[in-house]
Amino acid sequence: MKKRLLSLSVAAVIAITTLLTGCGTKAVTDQSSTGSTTSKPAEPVTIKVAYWASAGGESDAFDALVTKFETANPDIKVLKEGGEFKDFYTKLETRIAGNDVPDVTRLQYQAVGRYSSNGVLRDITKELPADYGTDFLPSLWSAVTYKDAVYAVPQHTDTLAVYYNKTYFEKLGITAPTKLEDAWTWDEFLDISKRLKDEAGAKYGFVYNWTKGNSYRWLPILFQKGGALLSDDLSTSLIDSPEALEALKLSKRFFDEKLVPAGTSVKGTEDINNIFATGTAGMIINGNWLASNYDKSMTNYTYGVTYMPRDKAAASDMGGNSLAVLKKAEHPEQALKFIEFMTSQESMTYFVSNGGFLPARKSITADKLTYSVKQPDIMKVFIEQSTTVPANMAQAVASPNMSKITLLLSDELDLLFTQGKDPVEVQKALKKGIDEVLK
Amino acid sequence: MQLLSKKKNTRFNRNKLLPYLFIAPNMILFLTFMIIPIIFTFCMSFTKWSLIGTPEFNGIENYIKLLSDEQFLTSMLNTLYYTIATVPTTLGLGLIGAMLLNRKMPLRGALRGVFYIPTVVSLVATGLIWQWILSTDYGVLNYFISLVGIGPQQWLSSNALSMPSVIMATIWVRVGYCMVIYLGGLQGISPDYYEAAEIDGAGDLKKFRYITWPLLKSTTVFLTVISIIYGFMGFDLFFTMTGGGPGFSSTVMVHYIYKQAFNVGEMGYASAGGVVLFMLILLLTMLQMKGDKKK
Repeated sequence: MKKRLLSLSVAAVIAITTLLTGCGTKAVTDQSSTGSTTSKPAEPVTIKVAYWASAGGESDAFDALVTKFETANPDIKVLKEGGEFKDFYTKLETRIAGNDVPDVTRLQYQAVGRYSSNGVLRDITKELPADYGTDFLPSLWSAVTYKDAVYAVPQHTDTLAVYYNKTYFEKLGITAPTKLEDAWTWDEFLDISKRLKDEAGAKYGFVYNWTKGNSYRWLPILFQKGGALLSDDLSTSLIDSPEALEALKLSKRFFDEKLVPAGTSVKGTEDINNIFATGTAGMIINGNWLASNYDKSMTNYTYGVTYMPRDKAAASDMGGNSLAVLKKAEHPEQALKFIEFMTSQESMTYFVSNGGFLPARKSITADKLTYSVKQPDIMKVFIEQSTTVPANMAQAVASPNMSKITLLLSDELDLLFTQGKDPVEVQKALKKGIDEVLK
Repeated sequence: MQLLSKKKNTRFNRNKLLPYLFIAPNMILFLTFMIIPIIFTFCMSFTKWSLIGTPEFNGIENYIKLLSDEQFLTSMLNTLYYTIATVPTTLGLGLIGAMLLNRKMPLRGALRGVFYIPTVVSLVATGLIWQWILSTDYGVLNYFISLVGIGPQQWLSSNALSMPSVIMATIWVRVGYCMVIYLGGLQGISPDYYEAAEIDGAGDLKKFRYITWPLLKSTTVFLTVISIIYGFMGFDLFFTMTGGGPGFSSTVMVHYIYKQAFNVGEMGYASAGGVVLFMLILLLTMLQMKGDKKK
């Protein structure tokens, strides 16, 4: 009798635990809504803000801005849920799946599409002033919009440009372009790469920051050659154009002609910044956020920054982050107020100056910013470059299917670069794969 | 009799309950973090789900897709290659090391500790360090081999060498563990056997073949099973050292499943891959155990 009772209770415990956490959707716990009160709430409301920040300028800037917000809004308290970038999305999604939803989250532009299309973000179109989006860079505003609804507000942007080894350039007597219209063509860029190898003593001409699976950074080359990834309405792929083939052939040359290290293909794991800082490569196509890194690590050389190469058009990578309100947020009003504060002209100026980022607002021009890098003028190049991000590319990159397309690009570009796959075959495979994804 | 049944909390009854109470904490943890997630993964493998949003049931579609997925099949072959290469080598080197360290020598304890340390270092840290050592342009290994006149090898960026590089790093990590386990096994062999063999005039080779090896059989089976499981679950070193490349030359099953789950966002499909992996390891383990019982 006792034995049966024991085994029954053990079985019951297992059964209950399995039921609670087993297959099937969880029962949505009824969250008591913060009822609309006609008078100001007596207790301060706490909003949870999920974000990441690297230690130093970025993290300090966040802290300072949050303190400023709380001082200006005594009825709102901010619970900062920061940390490092690694596993941020996994943590966020696990929290969402477990109904522990923050009020505000930081999102890369590339990630907005995934969350907006899955109904995770709050549609804030009607809650923002009518012309709110006009001051933001058009490419960024289109990245936070999905099917004509606004789901996030741009916080800052980043982009790629060309860092070059000034010591080598002086040795070869080369001056880098100082105006966007004078930017090198790809042929000129590759010639300089060769010269750096042959005459300046660099082992490689340059390095491109598309390693560790960030293959979407190849897209600027596609647009510079006059091609596009998807149609404007994102329904069909345009990767089968002759311009796209040109872009594939061009990037294949980087590896065939040994202008870049073999280990820096899209799946590569090499430390590319080290390769540039030690003079092993004469140039690196990388982002504005590396400037303070090179300030510290380039001890034997000096560096400069110039524009990305251009052929039919100028283009560059769309980097940076936005802030969004979650649909299941407990305090959406206060969350939106926080976001409007963080992305205001004043806050954004402070944030990008201290974090080494680029402003997302057109009204924040270079003269209004005080960066702490050794050569603040280089940031002007980046700011100007950030205006060349094609709107079509921004929309494509921010679309929900982009993560699958990025994986496809990683696989095919790696085959192109390291396995000698024919560019025509790569183009066919990309077209087929992307069409599958878009179905 | 009546008295006993009324008093529930007698020493007799408490004793019966006690063992269960002792294993209860571990069982609850094991259930929550192992059994339930495995059941959950099994259920997920029949759905299409992106972690956010609701899962939709799609039958065995994921499994059918897996069978025709070239990349998945390549990753299976790579995993086999990796396991076959690492298991005998780590066991063999571990055994040799154990036999060498089994005699009295100065600093014996310290040496054993030193060889075991790689096992406890975080695999991610190990991967990053090996990535630096094997770097084509500024890696230490290429520097050393250049001193003996061999040109720089593309350890992590060539098809032929990407897998061997990770195998090398794995051997560095695992030999110490095998060594320590074998040491334990060796010390369980009574020296009387060896004395008797010496009296009969047996040499070192005969001693090993007829005494050491047979008496280490259960240790060998244990290490083989553990090492095979470890080989099939290889991921951290691949992720940090080669990124699965170049091409797909070093993409193993867990890495592929990870990409499907977190890069592509197909939890259901990835779960199906996980179930296949689980079945494979289970099958291999059962075969091992059976092989041990037969002898």
